[in-house]
Amino acid sequence: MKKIFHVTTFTLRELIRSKMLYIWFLSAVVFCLLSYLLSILSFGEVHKIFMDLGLVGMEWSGTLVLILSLAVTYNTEFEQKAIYLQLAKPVTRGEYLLGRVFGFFAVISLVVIGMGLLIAGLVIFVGGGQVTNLFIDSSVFILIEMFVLTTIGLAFQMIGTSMVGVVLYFMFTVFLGHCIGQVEWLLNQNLAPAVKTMLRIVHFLLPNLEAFNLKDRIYDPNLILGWVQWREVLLYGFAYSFVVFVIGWINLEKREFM
Amino acid sequence: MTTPSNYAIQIKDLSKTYKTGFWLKPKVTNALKNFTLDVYEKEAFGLLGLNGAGKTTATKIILGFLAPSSGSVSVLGGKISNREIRNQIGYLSELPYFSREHTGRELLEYFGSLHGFSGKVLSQRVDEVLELVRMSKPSKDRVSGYSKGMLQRIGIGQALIGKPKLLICDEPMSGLDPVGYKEMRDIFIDLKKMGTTLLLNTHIMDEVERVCDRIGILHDGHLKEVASVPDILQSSVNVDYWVDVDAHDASKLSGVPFQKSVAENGGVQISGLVLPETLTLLSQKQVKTKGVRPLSSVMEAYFLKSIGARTSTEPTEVAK
Amino acid sequence: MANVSSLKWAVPLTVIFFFTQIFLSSKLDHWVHPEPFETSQAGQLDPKIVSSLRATAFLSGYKVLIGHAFWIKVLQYYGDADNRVDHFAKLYDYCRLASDLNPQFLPVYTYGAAALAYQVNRMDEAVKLLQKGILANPKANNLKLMLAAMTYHNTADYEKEIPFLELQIAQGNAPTMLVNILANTYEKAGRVDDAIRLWSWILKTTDSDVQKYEATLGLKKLYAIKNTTPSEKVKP
Repeated sequence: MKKIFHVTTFTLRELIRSKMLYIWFLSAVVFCLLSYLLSILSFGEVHKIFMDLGLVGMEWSGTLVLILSLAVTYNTEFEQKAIYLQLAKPVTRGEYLLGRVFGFFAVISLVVIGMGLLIAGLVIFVGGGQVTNLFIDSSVFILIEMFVLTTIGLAFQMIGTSMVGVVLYFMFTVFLGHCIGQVEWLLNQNLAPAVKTMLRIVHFLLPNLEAFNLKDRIYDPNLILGWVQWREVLLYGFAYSFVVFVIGWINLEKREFM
Repeated sequence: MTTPSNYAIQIKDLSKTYKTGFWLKPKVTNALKNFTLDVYEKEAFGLLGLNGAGKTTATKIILGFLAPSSGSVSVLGGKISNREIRNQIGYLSELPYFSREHTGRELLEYFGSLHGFSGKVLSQRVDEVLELVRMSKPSKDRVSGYSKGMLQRIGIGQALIGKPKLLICDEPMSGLDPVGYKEMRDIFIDLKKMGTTLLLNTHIMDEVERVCDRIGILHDGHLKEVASVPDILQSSVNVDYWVDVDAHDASKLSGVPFQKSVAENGGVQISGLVLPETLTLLSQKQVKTKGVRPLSSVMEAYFLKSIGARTSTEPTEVAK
Repeated sequence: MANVSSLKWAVPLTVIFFFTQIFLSSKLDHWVHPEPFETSQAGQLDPKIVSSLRATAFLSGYKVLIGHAFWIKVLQYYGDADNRVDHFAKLYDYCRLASDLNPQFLPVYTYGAAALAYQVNRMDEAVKLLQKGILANPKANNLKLMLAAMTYHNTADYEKEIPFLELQIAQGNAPTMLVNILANTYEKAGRVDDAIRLWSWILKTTDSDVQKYEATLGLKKLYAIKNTTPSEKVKP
């Protein structure tokens, strides 16, 4: 466990010092401006606009930090081969990978939580509203989504053979992950059996990022978010992350460093 | 002399084949072929070879970065996947690369923590290693500002941080200036005296001569020879010698077999004799010598002869 | 260097969790997206644009963000004088699509219904829009107030309509158009002094030039009715 902790702190320090947090700053500025503009143009409900756009901003800034971190660290670790000296140490590849996952997630959490606090401040002091419990719940869901995406991204890093490939596959997965929610609708349409089978396989394999998407429903009075739903979402996030992590781990164990 | 049971590294019939290119018609490259080698504990072993001979491949298989196609490797009596074994190994890769955002001290602290050090013990160990590799002052600066030599020093520092029993270095002298080169060589000699086993992949013959006890010559994936360095230095490998003599003495050597060329200022190149024979020749001719120096190293000549490359000792026309 | 021994325990757990996530994924889908993908019709809007927009909103996971952006498009449509020629024929369809994308954004219903009811006199569409809004937002009392006011407006029962409008404006977040509508309703109900008071307050407090102009026109008309000059001060 200690070695995982050391890898985590090493990764965290590396990412923070590579100025990833500037993305938080940039995202915060962009989303504050957009929210303010939209609130003027939309005639009212300023606090709702801040919260809606704020949640989008939290997700986008977290994803952007993750993509850039994956690109930068792929270059350092695999193309420049900084990973050699670490794996030659008495640390298992599984510990190394888990430490990297936690390190990445720590940086992303800083960005997402930072944005969340800023949005909450804007809602209270500028919008004159209150931060709803569903906003906080939605923010936590975004954090869970970011954890799942982190494991996916790092698994791609362990499998990928180029930085561009890793980033592209990751972005494609994020996009498809949001589309997954509509696959069931597609399955109810009149499609060829082979297409339906393929859709089912895609549905099983890709992450259902819509499961963490409460952004569209934080004002929905019909939304039920109780202990059962929390348990299912957390379990889904953990289960998918575990599967992806093990796939990444197996690839790292078998990977040959030429 | 160590007993056969005290092996640091035991490699048996190791082969490594790469397949590259289109998967239906791959290009097969045999990087290593039936490579068998034993490195004894507490010895310094130099692995020599041309670029592409398979030295780095062999090192990576020893360290577990590559899986062998066949054969077996045993390190410090066990498998490299064993964490306790890796705790006793230090590794320096060729042109080591580190995260640019950390300072030298932070890097060593990180690598030391992976070896299980913590707190004051870690801090003291880092100070010792920084002192050893002469990086105490720049240790608080970020790695992004380090020169090649400084990176190499930090590299050797992280390899030594865990007090390894076995140190494996791939081209450890790369990027070092003459002072750094001497300091690195002194570190290796000190480590050897302390009982650390060294495995050095290197091209630098001087380093091999001064540091290593034995060498192995790898060529085209095959281990051509394994020999002890003292034996090589005393062997009958011929190198050319340049003898500085007075101009009038140079004429005494004209027409002498083995004399390759004469310079106007009184220098004579003698080819085809080992050093004692060269000195005997000079004495017979009653030539007053001002200095004798080899034009190439014995080790280099031995290496080139082993791999079948043309050496400068091949006979040429005797100067008239 | 495959450290197989440490993976031995991980592989069976991976299989278990793989099937767990398949099961939970479907279950969570129904919870997160209870409504169907297809909702209302395109109406007079281009069906290709409507379906593309809806598909993008649902598939991207940013339905509300796209809804906010589309609402600005609706406001641009309503603010474009060229669209007066056909009496803003597509206004209801625009509002309906905006409410599909962002069902809990109340200005879609309040502003849209007010424009439909009081500006282009399409009361039935305004009522349909408000009813949709109330269904999606059962706790939004201002929508119920607006619906009640419109019902009375339809029957020209202005005295009954006025309290609902007043209450909605008092609650805040009412579109500014509604304040104008209340002033006009005061006038229709014969409560000229109240109308003058409200127009004067609008003139004093608004930053909008359009509203200032409308307030000035309204005051002129009311003072003419009262046979007084605008210089007579009426306390708000």
